[in-house]
Amino acid sequence: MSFQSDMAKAKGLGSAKHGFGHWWMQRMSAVLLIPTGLYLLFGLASLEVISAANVQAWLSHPIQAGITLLFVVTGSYHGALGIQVVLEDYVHHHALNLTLQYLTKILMIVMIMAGVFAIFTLLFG
Amino acid sequence: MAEFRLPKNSRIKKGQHFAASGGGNTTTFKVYRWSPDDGENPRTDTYEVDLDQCGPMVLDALIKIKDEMDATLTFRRSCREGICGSCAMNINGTNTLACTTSIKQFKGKQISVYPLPHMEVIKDLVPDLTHFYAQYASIKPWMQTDSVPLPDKERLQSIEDREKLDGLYECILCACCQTSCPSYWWNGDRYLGPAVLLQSYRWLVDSRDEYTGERLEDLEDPFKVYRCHTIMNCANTCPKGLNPGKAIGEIKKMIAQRHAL
Amino acid sequence: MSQKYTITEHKFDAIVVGAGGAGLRATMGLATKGLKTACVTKVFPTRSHTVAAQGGMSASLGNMGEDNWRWHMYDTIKGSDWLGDQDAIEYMCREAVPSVIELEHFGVPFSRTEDGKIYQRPFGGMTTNFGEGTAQRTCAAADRTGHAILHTLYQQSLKHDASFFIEYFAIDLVMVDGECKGVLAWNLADGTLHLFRGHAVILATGGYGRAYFSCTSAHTCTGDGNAMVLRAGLPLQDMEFVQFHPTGIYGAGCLITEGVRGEGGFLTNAKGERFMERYAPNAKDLASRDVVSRSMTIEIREGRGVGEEADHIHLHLEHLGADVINKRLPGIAESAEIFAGVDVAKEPIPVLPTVHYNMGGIPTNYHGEVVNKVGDDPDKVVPGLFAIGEAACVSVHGANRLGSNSLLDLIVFGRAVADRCAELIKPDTKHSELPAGVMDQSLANLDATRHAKGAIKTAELRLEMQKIMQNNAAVFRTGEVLQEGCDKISACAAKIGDVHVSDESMVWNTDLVETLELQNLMLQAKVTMFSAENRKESRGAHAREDFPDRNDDEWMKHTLAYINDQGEVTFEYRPVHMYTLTDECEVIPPKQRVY
Repeated sequence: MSFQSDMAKAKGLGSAKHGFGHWWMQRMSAVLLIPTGLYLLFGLASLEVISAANVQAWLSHPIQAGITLLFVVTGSYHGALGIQVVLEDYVHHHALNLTLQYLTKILMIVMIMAGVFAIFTLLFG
Repeated sequence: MAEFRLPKNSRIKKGQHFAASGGGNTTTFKVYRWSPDDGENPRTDTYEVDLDQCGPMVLDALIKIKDEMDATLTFRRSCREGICGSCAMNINGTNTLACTTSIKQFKGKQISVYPLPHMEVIKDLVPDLTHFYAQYASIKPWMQTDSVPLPDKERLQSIEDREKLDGLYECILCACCQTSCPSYWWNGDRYLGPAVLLQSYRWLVDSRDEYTGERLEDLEDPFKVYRCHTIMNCANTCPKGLNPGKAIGEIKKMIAQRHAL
Repeated sequence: MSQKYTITEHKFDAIVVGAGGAGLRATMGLATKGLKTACVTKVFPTRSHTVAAQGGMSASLGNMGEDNWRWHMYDTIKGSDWLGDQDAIEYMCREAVPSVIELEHFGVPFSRTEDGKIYQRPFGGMTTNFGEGTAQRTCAAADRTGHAILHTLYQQSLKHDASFFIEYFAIDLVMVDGECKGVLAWNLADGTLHLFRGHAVILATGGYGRAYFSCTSAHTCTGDGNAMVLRAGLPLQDMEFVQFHPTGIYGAGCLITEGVRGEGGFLTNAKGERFMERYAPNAKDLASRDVVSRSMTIEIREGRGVGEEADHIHLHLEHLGADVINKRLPGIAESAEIFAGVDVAKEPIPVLPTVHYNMGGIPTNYHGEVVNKVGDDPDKVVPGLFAIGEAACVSVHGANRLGSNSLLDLIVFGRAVADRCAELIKPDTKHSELPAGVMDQSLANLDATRHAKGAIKTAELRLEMQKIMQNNAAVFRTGEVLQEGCDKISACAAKIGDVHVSDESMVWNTDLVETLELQNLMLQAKVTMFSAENRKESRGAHAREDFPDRNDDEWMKHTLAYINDQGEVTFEYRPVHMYTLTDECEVIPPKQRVY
């Protein structure tokens, strides 16, 4: 039983005065994922045989490497934004939510770092 | 955490059956019942209604049931012409007004009648709309201005500016859209929901209002507005044919404009 | 009594009962004046029946051509068939202009003219130059004016500090020595009882259309305030005057606004003839409502009705074109589609005169103060008690209300009552102690009704009452039919003690609510029938075939009807105010009423 007024409940914590950034970046990253994703898809499909060596060779080209890098970074970022929304929607336990949000961000950074490392290794290694 | 099963005391049991007294042209109504007095679980009672002796709308059938078969059946109703918004309920899976929903369209199949989903029930088909109303009040749904109009003249508004309010001001606050929105189900405590946001937009685009900036500032919040995931149940279900989803999209556009990209 | 009821007491400066247009305007007015105000309402404010008003609100703004409040005053007096009080009518027509401007400032989304002003449409009985031309006086928000105004007023009430008690059913007035001290109400949500103390109790409880079988009124229009007043031993005034709206949808009874005819729609009979040209050569389809309803009834009676049973009339707006319909009449296009299955752009709407408005109600002066005839004083104020809106009989509508004067009445007198209370009441004045047992009778009735286990279902008795009213107090009346009506309604009312209430809960017991509402309706039905039988003339909406003419010598007076505990109806009379408030206009003397 809560004796809080209806208005207090409705107003809650008030406006965060942000939210646009997240919404906008999610859409912008989605838009960027389309050409980069397609490029990657067609690039890899154009290989005669998909083997580690062939893919490595394809990725050693600076343009292909650059676009793939863009895809990996944007994809990880976009994914993290998406997961954030899902967590906000469904996980209402505050501590659990915070933990999962934190893990999501870590995962995103790890994925980006792994991507950068892999592609740089191919290019310069 | 999102829940996928009803809590134990909310699971619906089978209730009583009331047979029709008259002719052969009957339809069965399965109606959600719950009383706060007896500590029992909710149940669904079934009523066979003789359609030859009944008005054309689902509300007519509910009134007939209450008048003739079971006076304890409880629901809100008032205008019976779709303008007051009292008899909003879930009929065969769709939130709508019982008074404008014809029985015929269900072609003799059983008609299930439940209260608006995901709301606390006070009794039978009467949900508690307190939080919805408080959310509505929280957006300050009234004209806010700094300049004082001439006391003996109306504020002027062009026909085009007035047209921008069409599709918005007609909302009857029935809460059909609000309670059809999954986002509102999961985050109704913080998400303003389609009906309230439609009203927010009604004031945002009123050329006479001078607090557009303040209103947008209050709205920009991950929960208040951005819980809308454009599922569009709201526009599908609105018994007045309004499109809250579009209004929310327009709000997002206005916020984007404010940020000068 | 089977159980002791605990009553929570609330102390306010003013209590408004009802949250329709009048109640909300009063509530926000009182709050603005710094009075602690409670608004007690049985439905959420925006569900009140003001929401269903379509056509508009009259005010001589002159946005569409020259206009003058004096012309408006003349039309209203003529519309009232000289039963309206001319001081009150002057007040209303004069205050109409600032009232509508104020509503616009509150944010009502009125339709607009090319130069950005409030759009105004023609309406029945509204003329220029004392009956010469057609006035465009009715301020409209498409055909959803009531909705637009009611929502705006609720929004304004949210802005101001008024306390709302929503879904509280008002049971009875608390009267001590002829003074109103408060009102007893029942909170449906948790089943508790509440006593609202106020130095002013303002009844804004609307009309009682549901006393009839077919009406445009909502299920909730049961005139609870009127009945509370009767139970308090006070009279209701001019209850014989029940307005039949010419255009209720055949079958469903839902309203089709007069604005349809204002925008150029017209009525036809089975021959396709525009019969209103015969009955009202000048105003035609825009004659006053009583005139149009009678003409339609005559057409049907004489076998020129449309449909298989030749029992209704057609309302045409096909010729207006999609643009006018979409812009000006979108709501009725929707209603006609849903309730008559008609596409108004292609076919006429089947319509029938349908009970719509009660000119009668609680007698008040133009401040909204309830008055009673005491000794030789016909205007004796009842301290602490006020009434506004359809519940009240100011009387600005007299024997027949003009379309779009109702929204006006709500706003003007909602405002007036707030101003009056601010003059009379000092904020935070102490409340006197109530004598013991002052609510006993009300509680006993509540308890007895809640546990009533008689032989008749509430709905069954209600239907019987509604059928009697429909048959015996219709558009045309005769002494014989009315006498039969009196006998029947008395017999029907006597059965109220034998009703059966199945639900015994205190939480959202709508079975009990409907039974209490039936008690309220029954009192008013009875008073209506008896008043109609009593008035032996024809005036406005009261058309007696045995007395076809208006009889100003004998009957230019208001009926006051009282009902005692034994259910006996008695009458008194109040003179019609044949004087104006100021010398800025002249009294309109009675003359023949032709349109």
